[in-house]
Order: sequence, then C-alpha cells, then structure tokens
Amino acid sequence: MSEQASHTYAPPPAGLPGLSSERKIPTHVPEGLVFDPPFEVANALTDPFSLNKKTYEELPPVFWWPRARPGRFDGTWVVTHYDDIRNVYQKEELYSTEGTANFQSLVGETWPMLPIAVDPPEHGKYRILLNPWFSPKAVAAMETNIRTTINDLIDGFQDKGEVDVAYDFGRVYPVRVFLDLMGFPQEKLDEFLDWGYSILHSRYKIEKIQYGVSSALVFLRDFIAKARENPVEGLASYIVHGKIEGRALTDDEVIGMVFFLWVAGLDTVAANTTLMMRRLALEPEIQATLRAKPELIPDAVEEFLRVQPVVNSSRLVKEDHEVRGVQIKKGDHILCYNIAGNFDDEEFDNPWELRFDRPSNRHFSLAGGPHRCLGSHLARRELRIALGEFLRRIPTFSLKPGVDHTVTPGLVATPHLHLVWDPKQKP
Amino acid sequence: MKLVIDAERCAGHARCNAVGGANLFPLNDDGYIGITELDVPPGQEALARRGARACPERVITILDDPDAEG
Repeated sequence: MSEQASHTYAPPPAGLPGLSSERKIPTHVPEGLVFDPPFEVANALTDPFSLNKKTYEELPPVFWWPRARPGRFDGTWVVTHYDDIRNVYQKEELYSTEGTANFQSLVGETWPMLPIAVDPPEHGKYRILLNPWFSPKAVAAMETNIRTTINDLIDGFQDKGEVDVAYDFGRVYPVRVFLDLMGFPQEKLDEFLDWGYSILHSRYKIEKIQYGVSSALVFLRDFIAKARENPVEGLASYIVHGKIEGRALTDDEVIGMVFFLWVAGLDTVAANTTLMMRRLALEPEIQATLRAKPELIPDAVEEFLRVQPVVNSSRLVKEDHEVRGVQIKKGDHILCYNIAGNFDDEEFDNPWELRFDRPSNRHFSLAGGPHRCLGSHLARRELRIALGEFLRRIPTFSLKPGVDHTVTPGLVATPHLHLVWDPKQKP
Repeated sequence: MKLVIDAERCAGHARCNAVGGANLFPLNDDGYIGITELDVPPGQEALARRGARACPERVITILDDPDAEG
C-alpha cells in the first residue's frame, strides 16, 4: 500500500490555538527541546500509529511538548525511549500519579480516583483490596460469561454481512462484562453506554461530558447506598463493605474506586478492539494467518497491544532531577510516550513489523511498576475472546466500500467503523 | 539452572506465568509471583528462559545457565 505519512517536526509556530499566554514554556526548558509530535492525529493509514515513526527516530529522547491542541492541558516532558519509559513507571519515588484521570473534577468532585491517583505506600492499601478480583485466575473464571456475551452480540449481525464494529461490538461487550463483574443490572446497559459515549465522544463539549459523569455518579451513589443496607453479589458491593487496615472505606473512597473502575474499563478495550479489527480488515492476509492458526491468538493480541498503544501514561515529577542530562523540575509533568517506546529498536527487532512470533514482547501498553493496569488480564482475555470468536464465526471481512475509515490512533479511536463480509461464505 | 526473583518489585503483569507456565512460575491469589527462587527442572531450561525474558519489570535473574554465552 503506497500511503504517505507526513508530519512536520518543527517547533509549533507562535500563536497556535491552545498556546495561550498562561501556557508559556517554562524557563528551564531549553529552546531546542520544544517539539510538537503527531499525537492522536486522525488519519486513514493502514497503521495509524506509524505517523509517530519519526518521533522516536528523529526527535530528542527527552523533549518538551507544549500540547498545542485546543483546550488541552499544559505542556509536558515526553520520554520516547523504552528504557526511560520503564524508569518513569518503576520509580514511584520520583514520579507521582496524583491527579490522573480527573474526570470527576469536571462536576466539582474533589475525591481522587482510586487506586490510580495515590502513590505507594497508600496505593498498595487500595490495590490489595482489588487485586484478587483481577488476577489471571479470577479473570479465567469469567471466561464463559465473556464468551457468551460476545457470541450474543455476534448472533445479532452474523447473517447480515455487515456491522459497525466500533459502535455495535467494541463499544458494547466490555460494558456488558463490566456490569456483570460489578453486580450492576444488565438493564442499565443502554444508560451506561450513553454516559460513556457522552464522556468519550463529546470532543470539547464540556456540558455533554458533565452530563455523562454526573449521571453515572447519581446511579453509583444510589447503588452504593442500597448495597450498604443490603449487600449483593459483585465487586461494587464488595468494595462498599471492603476494609483497609481494619477500617471501613469512606463514601468518597468507595465512589473513587467504583467510578474509576468504570472509566478505566470503558474505552481502552473498545479502542483496541476497533483498531485490531480495522487492521485485519485492511490486511486480509493477517486474518488468513490467524484463521489457519488460532493458537497464535494470544501472541497476536500481545502484538496488537504493542503496536496500538492507546494509553500514554503521564506522571507528576516529585523532585528536581535530570533525565539524559535534561533538567526536569518538581511539578513538571512527564509523559511515557508508548507510541514511540513500543517501537524502540533497542528493545524490539524490526519494531514496525507486525509479528506474532516475537521472542519476547515486554511492551508497556498496560503501563508498569506499581500502577500496572489493574484490568490488564481482563483486557487481554476480552480481546482474545473477541478476536477468536469473530474469526471463528465471521468469514473474511473488509471495510465497507465508500465509508470513511479515518481513525485517531488513541483512546478514542473512532465512534464508527463499518465492516462487510459475504454471509453465504463459511469462515 | 536457577532463577532468582525479586518478588518485591513484581508488578503482577504475570507474563512469566503466561509464557513459561504455572509450574515454573506460580502466582499467588493476587496474581503476583508466588516464589523468590526456582531450581529449574532439567529439560525446562528453554521455557524458564522464555518466562524470565517476558517480564517487563525485569525482576527475574537467571543463574548458572548451562547455555549462557561466555
């Protein structure tokens, strides 16, 4: 496929929207280290992440990104090399997660997201409460339920020869699994989907995001109050009655955990599913490989996680220090640029090649260190089952002709992606 | 061949377990590594090496590897 990816790697021109006077580049940032990488730039490439190829190859390994996007945060340091990224994830004494995933602040809430937004050793107290629910063993016990959920959805479109795989599949099944895990009624599915969609796909319409957040909080608070009186099955009620260091959790701690679990599991699996199916639709030879050898699916999921990292974690710097000779100050932010680090050729041979037989695949798409993604084993299992069942039941599929297949290489990949196949054909 | 595991720094990726199997790399109920050292049974060296190499945190060290270079 002869697609040309192009992006200018020059410092952002003065007067770009979002670079307001309050967002001046700090004085300790050297002028030559300011760059605007192609982060989450919508494109129609076969590998939409390949826009970032030159970020690793041509930019300094540590640079300052003024985040020249309308309405987006202040500037941040960016590390693009695998070893530096690992260092940031692992050194909790230098890098804090304070303020991470702060959606709740949009509606005036002040409690932190738990456990993600607290540092060790506090973090561990919350984490040990949740770990047994998300261990590989606990997640393996959910296999049948996940498989049934996914097959129910496929039942609905298998014979039609067409599906909007982003909207009617990737968006839906993780929420169904989540409702069962938490002990929330499946009748709430449409409302949860609506709230999640409002948060994730509202662009800069702040009122829509606030609507999604506050509606979810109303439901969650009501559920929590009832579960305090009458414990029920599921993780939400377990958290309500959970204890840390022998004491009961406060209302804020309960809502911080339950709300965070919802936000964290909402979009990540959906985006990964959509991007994975899109790649398979554009490259039918990959479908053929996996149909012939379904035993490759776990390694394929691992490789898809590596080449389509939808999360690039940010940390708050706790102490002045240097990274590769660059002065980093307390209070700066630093971004683990997985979309470059997962393609570091010191760690991965031929990093831009999609390969299901890598001798090791130690990507950080699910973060690392103490804050390693709590739901990583659930996400992996969901993706494996989704990919396996889709290929087992749907014959060779492609993108629907004439439909836009532009995606944003990130957490909010695309709201719609139409696939087609011949329903008379056997998978 | 022997493995030494810095379990304190295990972050629960469980990649060793997924790649090298539960016999060599047992997990505890939290899904973190359940051992701090392992005498690799004869014939299991390659699997142990793969499991060790799968750890993103690099907390698994291989000692006395008969096939190690140098």
